[in-house]
Amino acid sequence: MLSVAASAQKDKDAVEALRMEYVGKRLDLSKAEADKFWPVYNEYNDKIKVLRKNFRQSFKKPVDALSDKEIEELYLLDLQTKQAEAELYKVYRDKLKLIIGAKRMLKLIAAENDFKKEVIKTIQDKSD
Amino acid sequence: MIKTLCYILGLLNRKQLVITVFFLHLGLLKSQGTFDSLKLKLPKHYFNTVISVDGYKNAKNDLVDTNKLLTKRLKNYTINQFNLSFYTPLHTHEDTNSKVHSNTHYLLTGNFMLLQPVFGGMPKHDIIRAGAGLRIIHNTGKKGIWFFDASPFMIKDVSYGSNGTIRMASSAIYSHNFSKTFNMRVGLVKTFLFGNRNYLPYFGFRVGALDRLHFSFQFPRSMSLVWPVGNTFNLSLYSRSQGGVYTFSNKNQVYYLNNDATFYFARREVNTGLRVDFKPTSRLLVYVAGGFSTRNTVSFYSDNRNRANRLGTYKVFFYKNELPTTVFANVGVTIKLGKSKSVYNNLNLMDAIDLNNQNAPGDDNSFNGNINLPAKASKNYNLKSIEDLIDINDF
Repeated sequence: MLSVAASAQKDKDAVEALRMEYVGKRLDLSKAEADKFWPVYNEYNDKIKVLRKNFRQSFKKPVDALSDKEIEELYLLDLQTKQAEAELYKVYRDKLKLIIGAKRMLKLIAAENDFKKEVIKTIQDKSD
Repeated sequence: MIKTLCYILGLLNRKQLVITVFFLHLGLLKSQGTFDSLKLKLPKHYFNTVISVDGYKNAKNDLVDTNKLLTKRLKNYTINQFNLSFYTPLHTHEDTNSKVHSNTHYLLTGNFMLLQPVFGGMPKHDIIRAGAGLRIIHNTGKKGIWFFDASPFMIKDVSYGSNGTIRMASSAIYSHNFSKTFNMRVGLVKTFLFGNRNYLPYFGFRVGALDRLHFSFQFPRSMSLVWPVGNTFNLSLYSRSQGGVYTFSNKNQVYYLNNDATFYFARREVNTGLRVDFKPTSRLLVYVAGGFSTRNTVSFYSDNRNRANRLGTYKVFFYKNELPTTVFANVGVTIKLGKSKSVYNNLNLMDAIDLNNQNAPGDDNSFNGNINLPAKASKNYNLKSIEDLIDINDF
């Protein structure tokens, strides 16, 4: 069980590395910019991942098997997770903007979206 | 502002205004800290706890200089070595307020070694070396990493209940990242690796990125050409020095000129060979290596005798033998525990991790693999591996 989880984590790490490589190439940061940008960007992503994992792991039972109290709690957790994501997005995007400027922030957003599209397309191709 | 306006217009009294502002402020604070309010556990450190087990053996070698009386008695020599080591982060200090993102890492290290020098003409001796140390790694946030290590350890021949000896190895190294593909290191190390207490300069460089084909030269520790094959295998051609100074019981009267209870056994060798690292999961690394052991030297000296010899040099061996080239085998397992903060594309921290791993805990020079470096980018993904990256609305 632990081995399967560790193996899945290895795949996740590899995809995360791919995403960082993809974003890095599109941003074309100088060494000085990179030294400031990556620690902040990594910190942001770590928080988002922890948030999503926490929410995902809260869904251990099927919805029909949940008590009313658990349903309320999970509903609230969903709202809190989305709210926290939005707050973190604002806080960290502002921090990153100070480092790389507004123009490259837009490049970052475009790179993130393009990466998602590529991943989705690859998975769709695999499933065809 | 609206509340203030109401107050001004007389719709709220002062007490009502204070209460309203308090709750308004509370709401504002809450909206800024939903993440904090969830009390999720985030990793505190950039380093994981890493535990390594390493086994080493070289082939039996005849002692060649038969003119010496002791050579005839000792006959042949081989070594069996078992190492258990770990490092764990104690504290991480981050300075995110300054213009650069600097951080300092305090690690506790530990090392336990069982060494069995086996001489054909003498019963086997079991020597243990145990120690705990502290290392401090400072990332300047620009291009440099400072590395300080202090590793006190105790060596004892447990076969015959002899007294132990306490020693200390240490390192101070500065590592400079010129780019992702070129790095240089300079420093000073106090080591017993070459069969004596040596203060040596540390000089190293790496050409090539850590996750690609690279050549690394780290004097006095190692030299290696590393080829990472995907995220599962690492092949390397390497040359690595190994050795030490060990307390040795004189129960077998090896030192026949005096009645010392113990004397010192010193050894050194250079291992050159091929190594394969296998990483089946993100937390486990297994390695197998084999090759040739060269510059294999064993020597014995009496601390009492050499200290008494005030007029002469301390480095007087009552026995020294240089052995011919032989073969060796080395296997090891490294386990990564806990979670750590991400260091993707963070060249300084990736270098700090490599620097820490290249300098094994204690005065041991085994390399337990860069298990905690970020994974190499791979397009071999599935739905499970992207679940934290993609939102349902992205589809």
